[in-house]
Amino acid sequence: MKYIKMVWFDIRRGILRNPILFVVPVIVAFIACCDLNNRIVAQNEWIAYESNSCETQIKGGFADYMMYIYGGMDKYVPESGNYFIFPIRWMVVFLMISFITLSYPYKDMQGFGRQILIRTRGRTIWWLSKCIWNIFSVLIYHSVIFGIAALFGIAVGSGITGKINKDLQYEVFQIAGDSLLSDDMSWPFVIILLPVLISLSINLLQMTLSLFIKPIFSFLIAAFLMISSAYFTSPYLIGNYAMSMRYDMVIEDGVSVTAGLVVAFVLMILSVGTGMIRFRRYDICNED
Amino acid sequence: MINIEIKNVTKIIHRQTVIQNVSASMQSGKIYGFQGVNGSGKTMLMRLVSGLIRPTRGSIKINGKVLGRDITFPESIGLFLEKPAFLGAYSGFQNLKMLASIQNKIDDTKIRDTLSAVGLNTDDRKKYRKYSLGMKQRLGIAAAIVEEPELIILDEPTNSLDTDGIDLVKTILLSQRERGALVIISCHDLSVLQKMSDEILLLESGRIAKHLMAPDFN
Repeated sequence: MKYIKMVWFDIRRGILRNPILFVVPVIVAFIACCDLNNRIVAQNEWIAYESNSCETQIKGGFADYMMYIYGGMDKYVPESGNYFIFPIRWMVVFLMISFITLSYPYKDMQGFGRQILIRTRGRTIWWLSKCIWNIFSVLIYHSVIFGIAALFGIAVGSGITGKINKDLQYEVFQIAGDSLLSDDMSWPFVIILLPVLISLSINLLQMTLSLFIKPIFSFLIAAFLMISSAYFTSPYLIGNYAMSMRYDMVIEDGVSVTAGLVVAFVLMILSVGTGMIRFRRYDICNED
Repeated sequence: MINIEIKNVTKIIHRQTVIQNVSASMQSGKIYGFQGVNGSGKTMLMRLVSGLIRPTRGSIKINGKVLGRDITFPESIGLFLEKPAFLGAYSGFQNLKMLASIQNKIDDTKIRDTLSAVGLNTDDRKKYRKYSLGMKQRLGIAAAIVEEPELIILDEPTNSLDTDGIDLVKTILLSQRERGALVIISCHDLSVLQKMSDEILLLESGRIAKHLMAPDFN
């Protein structure tokens, strides 16, 4: 019963009374979808100009918007003339939720949560409650993004399907010749699910690291992980599994989706477990 | 009934010894005062007894159970440590009600009585974020005593209180002692502690420099 109450406290204070968690993904997704829309319009104008007709107009759908938001970037090959460009849009999506959830556990431990902690008398309960709060926060954040992308898909008349527009994706991501995208390709749900699971695992990792180092440094580690994942296409850098563009069903030598699912769950379990062990002996006191 | 045995406790944080080989015994029905200047170790010792931090060496037993090994926190504790921290969007009553709902030991009447006892208006709907420092302090004390715990730890409870407020704190603590609670209170002002305490531990640089009993305070 105490555990349920603690979880409810965290959900109420850390989610329901945290409007930023709902507003930021709306803004992020809205800007990204509008940006893709503008690119589609520009592309269609170019097609109309070139072909002198409107028959081959590109139309984006839900999966295209999702790809635009979660796609990341094509694999980077350092060579002359090929400069590394940060996938800003993709990084904003993942680092925003990391930043939003950064300080709540620490503040809770120093504030009102301390009163709850001594009354529930369980450090493990506190930690698991924070893990559940973190998971819900991440799921809500990405659900809002999904919702905005779905609304755009409906607004343009494509509905909510997994079907992607290959020409659009080639144009947007400047994909190299080894892409496996094809006409009438339809994304399986796992393509949308995996980035969210990776986001979950990174957030839980960040929260666990905050028990060893200051929260801001744990955020910087998460940011560094994402940046290095963008630079190096490697199955050992977890951020790669959050980039739909780098999956093995999109490019040759891409990262395995199955491996990504395993990595995500293993990292989640390790983070929760490590945090539980660490928090049992953690000194709960202010910095001074 | 509660008794606390602090045995050769040392605490080192970031290579700095903040508590050095402290030993003490405390029993129910008494008020223990921790006195010392800032940085003497009063708050750190309270954190150790409350279970928020673990000793580097030594042990703290509560009713024979080792804190941090047999139990995580004292089984019945009210705590007011450092700054009071409550939810700004709720009133004092609502804050206490939320805390009380965890253990479900008390009802609304008890919460109102406690608010009244600490000098707060029970019908005040003002949000906590609009409280003055003195009101926040009183609410912190209320949270520590409302469920009538066996162990009450109050860190500088007289801060930001006027003379009447300090007298009120004394009245509250004496009534808690009469109830049989073990009260630990810290203050940098020895004269304030002398009015309230049965025993006073004078702390200097993390050590107990003197241990005074009530008749010997002066």
